[in-house]
Amino acid sequence: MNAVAVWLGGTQLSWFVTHHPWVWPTCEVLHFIGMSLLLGCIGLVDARLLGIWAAPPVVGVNALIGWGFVGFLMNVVTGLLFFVGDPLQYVTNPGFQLKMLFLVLAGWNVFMFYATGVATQVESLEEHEQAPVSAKVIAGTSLFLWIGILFLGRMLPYLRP
Amino acid sequence: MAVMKIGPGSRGEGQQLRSAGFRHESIESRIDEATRLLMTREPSPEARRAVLAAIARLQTSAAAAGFEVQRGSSRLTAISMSMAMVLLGFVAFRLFVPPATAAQAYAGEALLIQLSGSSLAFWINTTFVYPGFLFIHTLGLALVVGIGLAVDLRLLGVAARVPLAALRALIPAIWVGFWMSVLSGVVLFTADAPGKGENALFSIKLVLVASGVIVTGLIERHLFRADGGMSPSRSRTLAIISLLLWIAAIVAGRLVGYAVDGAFV
Repeated sequence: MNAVAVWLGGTQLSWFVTHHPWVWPTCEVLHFIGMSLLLGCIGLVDARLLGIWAAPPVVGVNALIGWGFVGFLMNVVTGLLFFVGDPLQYVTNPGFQLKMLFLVLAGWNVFMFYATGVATQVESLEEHEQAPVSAKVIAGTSLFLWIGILFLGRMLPYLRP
Repeated sequence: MAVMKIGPGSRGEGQQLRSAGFRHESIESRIDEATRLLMTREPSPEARRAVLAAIARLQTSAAAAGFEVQRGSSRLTAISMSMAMVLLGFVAFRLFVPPATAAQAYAGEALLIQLSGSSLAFWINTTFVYPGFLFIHTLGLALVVGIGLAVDLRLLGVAARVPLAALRALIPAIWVGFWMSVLSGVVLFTADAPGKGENALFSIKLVLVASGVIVTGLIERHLFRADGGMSPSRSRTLAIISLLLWIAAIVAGRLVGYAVDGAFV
């Protein structure tokens, strides 16, 4: 893994990220906006499934998932630019490794949401109708993982070895 | 209610409901449908009575369900809007009441340095306190901007099947996030007062956040008035302004760390 990191650090893209002073701040800004979109929209879907925000029909809230995904894509792109810009500071950071593990788990959680049929099950829920337990487990896990990812991201500078 | 006529006069019932100050999107369509049914068919006396009774029940149950502005929630809005005014006042003071002499300028700066040199600030900076409150600050802003963006998107037509009344419950969550950020922000400011208090971008961020809070309060006040809703064009305008303000606030917030050398005295 270290060898890949070293090789990445020598690429032209890496040079581009670190040698133009506007690139890193711009990526940081977009990373935060993407994070807000992601946590806001997916968080609201999770809140609906958990019953915290019971008012709307689930099929209406599902339209927000697309925008949450836009935020996720923004963060993947900016995150890759961060990583390519300075791979070694991330690869050796246990906080970053845990954050990536959480990311994989969150992706697995989303996959399970659709693969087990829970997604189609909840689509028919009307206003104020409670979701089944399976949906609540998935929603609670999602909320925990994404907030955990936010936490680990903020802690990266403090967890560097 | 007076005797109901079949035909065009049946529009009267729909009008009565609307004039009773009853605006709610999903119920609007049901009123329209009921009115249309009454206009095109001749109901039996029992059916007519049942419809009138249902309309009367709808009014009382909607009032009970709290589709009018609830006082508790608007108190939280009022407190948050006041805090926004305080933030604006702080920046306005810095902008329009500059220190008259160099001695005053040094005194102001010395105060900030003293604050960050205190043992409290030392404790914040050397323990888990700073990262912990940084996390709370970020979570708070994710709540504010995240839910704010979702509400704005809904006002601009995204996820149109979410009834506007459902957004009502989201506004207090925005205020909770706002206060999380304000209170944790005080701790973060204490830890590095000169770096923030002398920073132009920090003041800009405060102005943008305060403006966002005020616009959010306006959206809530206009959307959920008891006597009727906002015009669609005005809600779209407010949503776009809110969206731009929150994005600009994030930009300013992120750039504070890069602008430490800029003085704003």
